[in-house]
Amino acid sequence: MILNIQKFKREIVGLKRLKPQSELHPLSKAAIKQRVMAEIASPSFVAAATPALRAGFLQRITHYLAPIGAGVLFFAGTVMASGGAMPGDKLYPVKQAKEQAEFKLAPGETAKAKVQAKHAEERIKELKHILVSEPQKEELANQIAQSPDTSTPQLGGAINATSAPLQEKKLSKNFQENKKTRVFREQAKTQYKEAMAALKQAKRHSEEKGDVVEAKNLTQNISQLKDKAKLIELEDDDEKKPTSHTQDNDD
Amino acid sequence: MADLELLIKKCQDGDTEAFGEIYEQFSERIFRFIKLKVQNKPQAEDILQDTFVKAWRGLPNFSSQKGDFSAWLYTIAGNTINDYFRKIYRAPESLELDENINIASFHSPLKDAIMASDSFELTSAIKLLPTAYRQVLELRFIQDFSISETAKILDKSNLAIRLSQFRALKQLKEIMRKNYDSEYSKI
Repeated sequence: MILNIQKFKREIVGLKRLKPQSELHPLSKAAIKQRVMAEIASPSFVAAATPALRAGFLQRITHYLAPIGAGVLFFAGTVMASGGAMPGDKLYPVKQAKEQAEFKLAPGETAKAKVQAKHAEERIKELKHILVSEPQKEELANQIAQSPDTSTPQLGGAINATSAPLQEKKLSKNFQENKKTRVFREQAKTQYKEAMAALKQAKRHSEEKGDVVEAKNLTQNISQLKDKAKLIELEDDDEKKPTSHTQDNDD
Repeated sequence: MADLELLIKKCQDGDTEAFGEIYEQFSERIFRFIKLKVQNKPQAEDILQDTFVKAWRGLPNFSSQKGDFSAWLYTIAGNTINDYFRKIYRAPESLELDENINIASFHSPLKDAIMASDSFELTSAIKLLPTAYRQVLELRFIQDFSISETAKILDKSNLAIRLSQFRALKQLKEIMRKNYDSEYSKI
């Protein structure tokens, strides 16, 4: 055979022995990962990037129609009903698709920034909902401590209790839920940061154009979003500057 | 591989953490592949980022029954590289044997006696090959893809890959032989 590579056996063996060397610096690898994760969690990411929309027929249809606009009459009812959906609800993907359409349809930089801020506030609301409804570790630890089967009141001791397979299952389930919450928190944080950046940029451009009223509106939007993020500690450390605002105690 | 299938399934259900694990597993290999064609490091890093973002976007349409995940990922990387070159008005390199390789000018440095290993010489010799040949050798023998998988990744026919790998190995053998002769003559 003309293209027989058997005569290159030595070279082939040598090539197969070569261990692929990494040219990607660990720091670069980590930085790129962060950017990828932030981009896929971004609300402006196209609906096709949300694999959860594979799930059902309704979600598939919504996935393709969302870019055209949530105002399509056929889905108006579903869309209206999805407004209060929380993560994990059946209509939550519909809510996400609606948000993506809203963002796409928003005309201009300022409108888009305000839509982003609105969605970031919605994420904060959802995160608060999750935090309140999830069983607290301390509460579970107390339950375990009060159980006659445990030898110590400490959560760590409860995990090691020989007669506590059920408690271990509960704890691992709780840990998984906390992990999901952490992931959601990170997504909410990313969305919050993007919304803040968009609002600040829109405000800067309004000031440059001399549109004082719009700039003032955007300042209020920024302040409002910042206050909401404070409630569940979504801010970065550099944003936590002492302000004259008083802390809200409603949560 | 069962772990990878589980990760893919999780990603398709919307689990971004699982996608992070896929990134950890594949990023270095994919970057190595990208660097074969894109020498500029920041650009290569951007292409790596775009590759994984596109992979996330395309995951709903991926099925293990249609093909190997690894090959699929490499294909996305290859297409992203081509998009990059199209943007800067340069066509991806085609299979040509007219590259001017000054084999005679190749001197194995042999800075230390430690460096005189087969592996080092092979690595040095590979660097002298044209990019297209390096890609084929990398995918076929280092990453262990089949002919058809390699063809899909590089968007070429199976015959073109077989031809390419034959010529690449022939040229590699020639480089190493000349290098050996050159070093031997120094003794």
